[in-house]
Amino acid sequence: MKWSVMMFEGWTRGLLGLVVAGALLLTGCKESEPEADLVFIEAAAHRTLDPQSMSWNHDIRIASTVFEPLVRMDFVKGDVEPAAAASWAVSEDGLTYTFSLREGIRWSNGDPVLASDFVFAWRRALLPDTAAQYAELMYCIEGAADFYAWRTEQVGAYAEAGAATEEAAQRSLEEAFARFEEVVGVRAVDEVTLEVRLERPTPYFLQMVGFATFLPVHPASVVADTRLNAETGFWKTETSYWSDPTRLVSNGPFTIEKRVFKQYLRLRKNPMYWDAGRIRLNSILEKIVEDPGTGFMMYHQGEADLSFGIPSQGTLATELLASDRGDVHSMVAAGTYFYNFNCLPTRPDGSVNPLADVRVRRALSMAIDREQLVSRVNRVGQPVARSFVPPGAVPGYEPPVESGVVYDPSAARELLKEAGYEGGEGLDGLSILYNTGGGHEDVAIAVKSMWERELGVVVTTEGVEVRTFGDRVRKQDYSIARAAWFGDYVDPTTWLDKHRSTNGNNDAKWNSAAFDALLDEAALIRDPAERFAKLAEAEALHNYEQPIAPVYHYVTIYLFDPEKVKGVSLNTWARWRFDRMWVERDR
Amino acid sequence: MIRLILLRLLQMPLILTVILLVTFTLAWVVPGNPLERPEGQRPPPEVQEAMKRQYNLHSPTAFLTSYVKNVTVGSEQYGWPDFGPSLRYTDQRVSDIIGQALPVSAALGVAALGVALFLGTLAGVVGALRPNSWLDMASLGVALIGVSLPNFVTGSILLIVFAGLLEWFPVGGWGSPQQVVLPAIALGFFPAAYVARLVRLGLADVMSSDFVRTARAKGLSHFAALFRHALKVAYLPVLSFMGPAAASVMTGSFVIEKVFAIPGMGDYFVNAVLNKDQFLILGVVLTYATLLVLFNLVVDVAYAWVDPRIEL
Repeated sequence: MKWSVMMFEGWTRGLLGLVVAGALLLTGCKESEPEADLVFIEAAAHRTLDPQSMSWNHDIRIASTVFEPLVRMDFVKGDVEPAAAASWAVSEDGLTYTFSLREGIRWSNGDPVLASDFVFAWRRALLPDTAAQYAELMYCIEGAADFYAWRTEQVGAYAEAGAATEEAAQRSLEEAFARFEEVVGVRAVDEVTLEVRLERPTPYFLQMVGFATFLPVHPASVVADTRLNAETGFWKTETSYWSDPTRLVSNGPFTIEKRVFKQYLRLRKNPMYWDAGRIRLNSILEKIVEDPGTGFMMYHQGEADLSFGIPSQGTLATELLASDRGDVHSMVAAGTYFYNFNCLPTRPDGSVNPLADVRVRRALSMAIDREQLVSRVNRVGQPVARSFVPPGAVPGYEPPVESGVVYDPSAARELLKEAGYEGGEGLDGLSILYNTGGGHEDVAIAVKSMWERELGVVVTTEGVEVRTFGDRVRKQDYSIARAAWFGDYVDPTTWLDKHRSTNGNNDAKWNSAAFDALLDEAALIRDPAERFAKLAEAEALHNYEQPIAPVYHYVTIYLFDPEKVKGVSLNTWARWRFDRMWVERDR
Repeated sequence: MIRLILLRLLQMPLILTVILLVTFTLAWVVPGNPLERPEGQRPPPEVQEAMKRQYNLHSPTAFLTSYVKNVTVGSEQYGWPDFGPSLRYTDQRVSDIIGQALPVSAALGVAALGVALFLGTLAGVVGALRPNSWLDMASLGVALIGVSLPNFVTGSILLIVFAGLLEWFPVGGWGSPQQVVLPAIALGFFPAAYVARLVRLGLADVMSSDFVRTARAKGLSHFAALFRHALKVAYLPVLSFMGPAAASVMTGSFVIEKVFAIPGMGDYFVNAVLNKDQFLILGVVLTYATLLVLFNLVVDVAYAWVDPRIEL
């Protein structure tokens, strides 16, 4: 009998074989991970676990669980508390901070944590080679901005010289290290003392020290995986180092036991951690589930104790908030949703830009019915925004909401008339640019119809893919663009500095010497209340000029049963302390 | 036949080169800077330029030359084949990503193919045995639904009913055989419907052909004629369909992976393009193309075995 006939006579056997092959493949799959003391769902895969390179909250959440900064911010109380540093002293002029490390603190491999380890990590962040997203946070340190600029120039010159050899790259790196020691105000006085000299008094410096960019890394293991690129002169850590728990050495309350990309991350209590005795969780399992519906169902079926994965857009969030479930927690986030107005005097085609006129910007902003947006479009109870800094985000700072724009269509029409665009006449070519997905289209359509209805201004909406969106905003190829900004540290400047005329993230290209001067003046004030008052003055000017139209402040939704998951500290900044949590499963 | 198989394998580098060139060109002209991140501070231009140079993103020829070298010969540091780093997920190399995602998609794909062949053949045979009966109508109806429904609908319905309401299966994730059942059915439903239609149509034709009539005239039962003679001929179009279908299900489905939280290739296939992650785009496309070529070859070989009149 021919093989072909045999094959088809036994077609059922063939199918069975396929199923068996599938089963065999499946048996090759790993077994389900054993349960951990705390299981939580995260809605996004980690982009990086390199503290110096990260910028996303979910990355920072893990980094600050795995690494210990000098001091930690208590985001509920708004206080700074000792962490790797047992104490610190600030000089009378507010320029020198001296940190004393805790005695006997160790890395997860048993090495002592030294003051020089912090110097190493901070230097790493200030080397443009690392492309740290938040190197600028370190610019308050003496010489830091100069060093960054100098190394940037050096890298540029290296590329231009075209003499790319390993020796040349090595020379340039050694020169950079020497330069760092010479100009940057960070030094290890001894093994346990770190001295930091600031460029100017920075009242929020301690709060920034708790941010991911300032976290220490273990020099020996990082160096072992760091290479010089002869062609660019860059000194870069291998991409895979941060994924490999066998190589990654950390000093935080937990260590990474296993990481399977886009699937899960298993953390284990770090026995070397100075406060390990107080930590009640021995293991944590982070499941990465990108689909919010699936994430919710997994939580609902008891496959997780905590979920960070509910986006505030969409019906799921609305339904959850409308329910009387005791495990749904909504928290105002330290972030603002807004519209950027392109404030440049001319448009890309060379014509006069009507949005350069403050009256036009104010009129457009006044015609946005924010209450209607949050109640009918978004529907998850976001507070409407009248200021850029979210009220309550910074303890002690009251954003000047009274100077913010309110919904007033008739005043808006008057302003527009005054600007020479009565009934929207002559105000053409405006469009709202947004990136597709995330509910931005709904908001854009609603705002467009408000402007048309109230002001007679015809606006188009343009939804583009996120990269194109980013590209066009950077190139100022837009008139009005949706945007959002989340604070990084607990100070109003984390928002207000964005609109300094020189800031690289000033997408509106608003250029106000008066605003810059007020921020500069505030930077010199030592008294916190007085300083906040000056910053509020700056924000009031910002409110009047409306380079952006603030729309609402974000809300974040978390799921957990407070009877079961204990020690959770809900806070505006979405920073969680796993080392303080525990789970009571039997209740 | 061995000679012909070897010849086809030798053609493979040429096919892959063409696919690489086309994909590279498309990926290169897509607007946006792959190194730029929407959040955080932007590095100064000199740094951006050096970063581009580091990944050879400053020039298409430099990129292509180094890429082809690293993939074919290997790089000094990472050996062979080095598909480069992911520009989006900066802790990961493309080889590692594919190494983790492909086995997941392959396992799911094999299970989905099993579902497709089993359900499809069953429905097709039932339809052919009892044409225009209620069973035939029902299987045609199900096949029609299978072909018409997008798999995110099928997947969501399965998830809500069998995982959410009845709680027979886990909601999502990957690692245990139970977690494969629902996504395999969701992924296999479309090819199953297609197979059912092909089998039914094929059997209807073959059952009225001379050789089946002869077999029946010799006293062979209807059932035996169908299974022993007709089905293998009716299966030929199914075989041609299975090549690309196998490659398609094995490289994953973006939607099914999202719905069931499965870490397979489909997600990378879509998101790499959205993120303009050049290395990942090329790595995933080359993997997909290799599978497609190999599966088509397997199908052609099987075809020739089944029907010796067909020459490779």
